[in-house]
Amino acid sequence: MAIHSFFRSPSSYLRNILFVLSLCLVGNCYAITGLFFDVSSSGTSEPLNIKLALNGLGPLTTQNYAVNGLNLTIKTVVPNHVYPTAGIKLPLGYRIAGLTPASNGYYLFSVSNTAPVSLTIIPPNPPWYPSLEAFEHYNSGRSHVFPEATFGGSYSGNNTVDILISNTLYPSGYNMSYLNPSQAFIYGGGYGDIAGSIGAFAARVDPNTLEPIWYNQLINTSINGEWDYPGSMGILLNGFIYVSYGYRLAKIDANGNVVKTLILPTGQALPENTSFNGFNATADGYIVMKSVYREAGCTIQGPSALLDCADPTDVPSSILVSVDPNTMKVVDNITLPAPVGARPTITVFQGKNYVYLLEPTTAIRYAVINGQFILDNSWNPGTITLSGQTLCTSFVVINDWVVAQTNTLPASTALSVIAINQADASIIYTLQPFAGDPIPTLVAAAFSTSGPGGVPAISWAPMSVSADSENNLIYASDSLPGEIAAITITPSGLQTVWKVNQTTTEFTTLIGPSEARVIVGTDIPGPEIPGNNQNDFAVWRNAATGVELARSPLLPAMTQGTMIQPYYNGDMFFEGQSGQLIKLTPRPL
Amino acid sequence: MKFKSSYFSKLFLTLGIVTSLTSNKILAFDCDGGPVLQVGWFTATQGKSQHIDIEGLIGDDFSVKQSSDQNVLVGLGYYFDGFDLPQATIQYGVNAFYLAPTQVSGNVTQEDLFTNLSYHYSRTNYPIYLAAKALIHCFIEQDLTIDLGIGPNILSTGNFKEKSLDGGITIPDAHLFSSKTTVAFSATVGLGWRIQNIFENISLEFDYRFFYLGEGEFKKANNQLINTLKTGNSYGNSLFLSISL
Repeated sequence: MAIHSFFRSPSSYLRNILFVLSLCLVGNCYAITGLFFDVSSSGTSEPLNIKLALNGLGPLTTQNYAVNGLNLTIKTVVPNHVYPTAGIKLPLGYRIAGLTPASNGYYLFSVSNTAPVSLTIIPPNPPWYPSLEAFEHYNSGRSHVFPEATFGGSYSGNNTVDILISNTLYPSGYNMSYLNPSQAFIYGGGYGDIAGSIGAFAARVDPNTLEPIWYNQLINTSINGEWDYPGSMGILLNGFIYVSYGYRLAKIDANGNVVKTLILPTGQALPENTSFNGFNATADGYIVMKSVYREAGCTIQGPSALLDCADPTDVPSSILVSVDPNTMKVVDNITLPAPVGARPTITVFQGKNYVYLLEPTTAIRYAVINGQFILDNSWNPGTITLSGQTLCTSFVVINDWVVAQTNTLPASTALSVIAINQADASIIYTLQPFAGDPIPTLVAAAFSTSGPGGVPAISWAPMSVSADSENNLIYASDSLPGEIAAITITPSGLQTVWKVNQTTTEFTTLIGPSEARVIVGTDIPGPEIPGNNQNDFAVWRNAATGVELARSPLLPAMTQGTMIQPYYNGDMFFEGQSGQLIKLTPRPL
Repeated sequence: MKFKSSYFSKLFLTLGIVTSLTSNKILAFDCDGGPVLQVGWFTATQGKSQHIDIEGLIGDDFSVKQSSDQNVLVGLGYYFDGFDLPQATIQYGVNAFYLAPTQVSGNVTQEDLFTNLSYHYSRTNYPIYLAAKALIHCFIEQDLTIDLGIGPNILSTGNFKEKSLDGGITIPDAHLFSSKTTVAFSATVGLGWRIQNIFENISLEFDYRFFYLGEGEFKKANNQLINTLKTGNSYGNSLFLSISL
């Protein structure tokens, strides 16, 4: 500033002051604010408040955004700059498919104004731990949809499948659960009728080598003679691993230490003939378990006891038990009206937790309030099976419906897919998607006396359906015609969308985002007889069309009635019934 | 403007020489002395517009909107009588000050694009001077005083905080910069008017003082930051009352 400016007149001072003031005001006007991200959302409608950071490691330069869908497309507005570690943070319980969060909770990705990123948000899955698979069928509604799992191959179908086989045996491996990609656990040993299965075990597996990090044999039924029947494993929100086996429920920490083992009530049967075949849990965290029994005096092991004991139906009614997983104490214990074979299915409908159960010819449901069971007499679908059909497998929840398929045991009447409305049990849709379809000659011969009363069986489905609520598709299977079908619910009933030949005795797995869902299942080679097969293929199909995308090399037979387990990075685990754990990696050729 | 320590050292020495030369005779060196308590008010100018580099980002521009602030000042010293001349007395001693926190505020332009945040922080100074005071005898019991001092300034930065300018859409960076205490070169020069023996041996002095307080900085509280925020060189002007015993 020139020195003479100090000697100006008072009016010039005033002008200067006004000039400085106006500069300050204009300066504020030039403080332009703006958004750094251009975000669009689609898919399942769900209003969410998210945080996006240009540097997710900091996190730095972070802004709040509101979105209304679970599929996001994000790009920046800053020209000519790539952000290698941009980040997104979601509300508690939500996560991003295929990404592992940094320690600060941000999922990192690379993005620019010309290279947008697509992200799929996985909503919370209470009460299960927020990982790719914490419960055997993903959610308590047993959808079998694992939205965080991805297909590693090409959707055009030109793929191959790499395999890695474990050196260690995990006899009759049943299901796997994960805390994260590096903390993978396996439960098995519940098929006492398979050589090497001596009772339940839980193990932590190195997902790279497939060798055990720890292996805890929870019981040896070959010594104590107790019925060795499949239970299951799951991880609740508290991070503990729960394993049901026989009449016990174990709470195990991630290091393999058994924190507590709860001895469960067994109803009218002896403990050694009692098994709680798996468990489920309510959204507010109560474990729900239901018993099945081996005929008194029968010493046959494994699922064979349900077929081969002198009179497998000569068993008491099942009991239904709820357990507080934190205190490991029984909260409620009721006797059901009849023996119930299928595992309980739980969902929240109209704000209430309901457990759905299938009796021999009908279905019932209980409200579960603070762990207490209250029979809902208003929900009564009546008789839902046809003559010649056998028991249904577990219900699966799809939107307002619960869906099951008949013929857990070989049946002389074609399988029915049955959808019952949760709001009004009198609204029932049924479809026999495989009725009249041919059965391979060798299979027909093998099952010529397997139907009720020794008649020929034309249907057998030891697995439940899978159900994709977002795409309104149900996937049913029948082992005897050897088919899988996709079925949709329309206002007028059930309709078959596609049907393909694939012979499986296992549950199907649904992976990938809703717009590119893939169905994965086993396929028994042609000459082999379902239930007595020595081999399987693993097959990936476009879930919308049924078109085959990938097929594994020939594998040993999978543990019957289990499911190919989804894992991270497009990999999947296949549990051979003789104990081989096989990692499957589909990839483009 | 940047002050060098050698500049003030020379000025300090020159004052002593000039004062000595203006006297007719130099008396014996006197080691008597006394404490001094100072209370007053100061205004400080500080802050620095700068660019903060961030890993993977273009970075943040920190502009200064409010660089001047004021607060109280407290000082404590001890002066020895040095050279006693007919027209003046030279004292020397130690004089420390506490300059209460003053604030800097401004705006943050992120990625050189959007000014989505404002910021503020505070700075506290504790300068400690080796000081010299010339008492020029103007009237009976009344002196003009000239003060000089150099020494370290222990300065601490803190209370860095950002605030959203867009209604909460942009989230203030929670862990960006944290407090840091540093030592910088400092110097002071001042003028005053002393009334001697206003009550028994107590003297009262009205002072103006200019402070050069040096530059401070913050500690990086985020490993994604490449450089840190600096306060810029700070200058202070103060008016205070001194009571000498």
